[in-house]
Amino acid sequence: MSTVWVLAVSLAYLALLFVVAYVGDRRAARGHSLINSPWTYALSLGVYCTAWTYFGSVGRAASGGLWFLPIYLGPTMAMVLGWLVLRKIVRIAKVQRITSIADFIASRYGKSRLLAVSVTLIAIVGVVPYIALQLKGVSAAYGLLTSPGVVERAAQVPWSRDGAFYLALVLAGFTMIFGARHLDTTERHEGMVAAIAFESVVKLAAFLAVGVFVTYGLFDGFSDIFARARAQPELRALLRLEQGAAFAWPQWFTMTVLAMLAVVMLPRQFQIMVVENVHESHLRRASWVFPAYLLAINVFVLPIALGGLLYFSGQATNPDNFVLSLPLAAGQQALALFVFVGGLSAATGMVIVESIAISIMVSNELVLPLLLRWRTALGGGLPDLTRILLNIRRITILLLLLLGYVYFHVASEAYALVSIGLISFAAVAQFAPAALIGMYWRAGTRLGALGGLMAGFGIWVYTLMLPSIAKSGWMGDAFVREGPGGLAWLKPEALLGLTGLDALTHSLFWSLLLNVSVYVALSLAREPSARETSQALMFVDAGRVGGGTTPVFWRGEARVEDLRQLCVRFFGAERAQAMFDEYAARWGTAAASVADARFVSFIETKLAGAVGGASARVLVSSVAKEESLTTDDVLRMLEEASQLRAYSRALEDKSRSLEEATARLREANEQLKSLDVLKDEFMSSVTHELRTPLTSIRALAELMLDDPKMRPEQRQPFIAIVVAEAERLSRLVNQVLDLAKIEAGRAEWHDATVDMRALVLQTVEVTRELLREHGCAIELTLPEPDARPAPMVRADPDKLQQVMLNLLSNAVKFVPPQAGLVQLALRVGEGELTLSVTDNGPGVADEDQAAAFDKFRQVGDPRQRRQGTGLGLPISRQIVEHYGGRIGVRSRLGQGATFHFTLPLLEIEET
Amino acid sequence: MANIKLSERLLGLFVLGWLLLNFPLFSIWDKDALVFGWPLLPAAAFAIWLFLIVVLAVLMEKGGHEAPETPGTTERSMLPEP
Repeated sequence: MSTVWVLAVSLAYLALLFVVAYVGDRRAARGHSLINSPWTYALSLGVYCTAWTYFGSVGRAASGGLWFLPIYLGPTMAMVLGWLVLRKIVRIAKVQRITSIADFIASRYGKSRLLAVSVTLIAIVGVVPYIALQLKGVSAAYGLLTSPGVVERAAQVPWSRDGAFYLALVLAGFTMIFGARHLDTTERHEGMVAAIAFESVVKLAAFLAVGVFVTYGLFDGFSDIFARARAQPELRALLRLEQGAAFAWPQWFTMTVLAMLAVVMLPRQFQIMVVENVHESHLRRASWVFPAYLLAINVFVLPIALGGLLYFSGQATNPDNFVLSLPLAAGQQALALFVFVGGLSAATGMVIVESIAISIMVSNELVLPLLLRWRTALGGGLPDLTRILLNIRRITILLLLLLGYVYFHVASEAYALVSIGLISFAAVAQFAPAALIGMYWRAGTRLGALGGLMAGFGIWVYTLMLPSIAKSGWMGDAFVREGPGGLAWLKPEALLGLTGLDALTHSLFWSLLLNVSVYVALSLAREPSARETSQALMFVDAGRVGGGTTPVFWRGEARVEDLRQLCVRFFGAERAQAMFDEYAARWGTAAASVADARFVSFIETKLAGAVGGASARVLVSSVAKEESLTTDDVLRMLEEASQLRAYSRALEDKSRSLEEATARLREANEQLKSLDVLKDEFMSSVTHELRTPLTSIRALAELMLDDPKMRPEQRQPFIAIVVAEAERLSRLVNQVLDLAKIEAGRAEWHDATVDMRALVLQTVEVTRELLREHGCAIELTLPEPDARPAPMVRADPDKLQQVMLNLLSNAVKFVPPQAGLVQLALRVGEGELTLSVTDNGPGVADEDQAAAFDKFRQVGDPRQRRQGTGLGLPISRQIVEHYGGRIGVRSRLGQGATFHFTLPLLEIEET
Repeated sequence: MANIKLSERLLGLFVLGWLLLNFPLFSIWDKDALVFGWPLLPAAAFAIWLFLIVVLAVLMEKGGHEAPETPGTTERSMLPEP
């Protein structure tokens, strides 16, 4: 393929990225953020997949089978805990305006500058080879594309002819434009993140394209590749763990842990995951979308590796290049070019974010503190710090890429892609104890963190870095083989005679062990200072505080005018004013001429967003007269804050209980109102029911009064009616009184053990006269006298008899004259007994059944309405329910009705 | 309350993942056999991986979103609310 064509496409692609980033920044400026979406966030995390993934995974799979997997299983495990751990980091970072991993660790331990510097230097040492790896990946791919078959060693190419050199320059330019354009109080780069998310899509699409091509174009699907591979013994072994030797489980475990830590601790990952995070809720979706992305990009790794080994069987080829050499060998130029663009995406994405992250660390943690010190030494002010800061970042980006290029130029031949990447991983894993333990353990101190970091990094250099340099041939490897000065127990790859582990596992074991041990031991050895304590509290409690009341740990005096000048110098007059306005709007007061602790803390946090925590601390202390805090002060301030928090919580609680009380009152009021309505209805019903017999008594009495000569035989029936109506009146009054007593809970219940069988017989005896009058037969169904369990209940026998009388007289009222049949059944069931009274009257319509037990409701045909008060059934219901039973009616029109009730059986011990 | 439950489930999934993908459980799949044309070991690795992702997705998505997604929250201050 022609060089010009490849270069043109590459530049066009970079220009496209440029456009995406530009649009992203423009949209952000107008408030329509492109990256305020969990999907964009999840995709931008795909920056984890670098050229190493893109080319190296296949290479690794071609030599070791499944060994490419732990690098992606680790991040998956990390994201399982993402919602618990990463969210806390994000929360802390937002509150404290953290700008980098160095800032994060330094801020935890009292904004220590020494710690910030250490982390920054370790990050640079660890990351430069990794950047070199990207340049190597792209330049190898470029070489393969433009001059296939020519193996030109990078070291033999002069830099002026070397594509990788120009690539480094182009990337540096691109990164400078989008990573270091303006200072921000949140240190976010929306355009860059949009471009990274875009790149993630491109590299996934390209890798899937080549995967599908190899699997279905060159071969006949997965089954075909795997079947053919299994036919060859050496390829068949790649599909197994134990490839002829015992499988290295410790290394498998180590690599998973390493990748799990690296996915958070790598400077570029921390930048994208934490600093560029727009909203912590985006973590929710990202925590599964990102692992899913990793899975998708790995599905075709094994088929491509095996496919390449099968396709180029017998030829000398580099498996790292299979993704490109396979389409090229098959004559698929366009696909090869697309795959190259995908690889370019993977590499540029990593380089851009990593160098931005490092440049922020260098400017905030290394250079600015030095500048500030000079300034105080010289006594003069520095004009326009913003421009200086941005220039520092630009220079850092350029230097970092050139450093990467130099490393690539002189060292990359020595190692495969994978080893370089793993060495970088192990370096940044040293940040994990100080960062992660410090988030949960208050007692961790600055000294402990520093000591742990130094010890871990020292072991890393000695056991991993130096041996790898020795193996490259730049220094004698005698100390690796025999130990320094012949001391065998100091051999870097077998410390204290620990053998049986590979170099990476060995190094990681010792470095993390020492790192954690020293960290814990030194932390426990000395009391933390006040500032360390205050920052430790802020970190450890971050999850719980959740935006509520946070204590302010500061004491001293500062002039507002001085703080204003400080802000103007970093943000310009306009944005400084906006910050002051924001403060006034939030707290309702413009700052007075002397700033209080809250205001100073506000300004310091804003500055921290631009220059990092440690530098912001220096800046503020340079304009303020600070009094040194003691641990007692911190405790007192904490107490004040927690009191404040307690007050506000108590206030909240009070208002909540007030609300609840209001709701309850409102409910009670509603109930009262409806009871009032019921009472009115009841009264009108009662008076109506009273008036009917009264009217009839009065009419008859007047009739007899008007006609004193009425004959006795004529007068007799009238008097009988008057007596019956008067009886009905007194019955009604009694029942109303009964009901009122029961409802008010004032009824007298004379509970006794009642044998229902006997009570039923007795009741039937009482009604026998009534039944006979109506010509009505009765059928009884009762349990046998010696039945078990016996139909015994605990209740007031008089009241129960009243219920049964009500039901019986009710039934008698409705049966047809002279042909009536009433069936009474008493049945004993599981734990309760049921009594039912069935008549052969007209029945009760479905819609009336529920109303049958309402007061004064006499259901059924009004013309057939017999004498009754309408209170019998409601009273019965009250009585039955008082004893924990249920009462109801079953009926079909024209087929009679069955009234039934249940009562809980009395449990009688068998004697 | 729901949050506590979610975190416990996530921790459980984390432990499960470690158990399934490391010695000795993962070595169970190290056999010379095929499933759907895939060798057993890679097939099992991807299946376990996918299983973890699906469970994680279910856990994370059903929890609902407690806070409206406003960019303004990034401006949260460390200072006490009045």
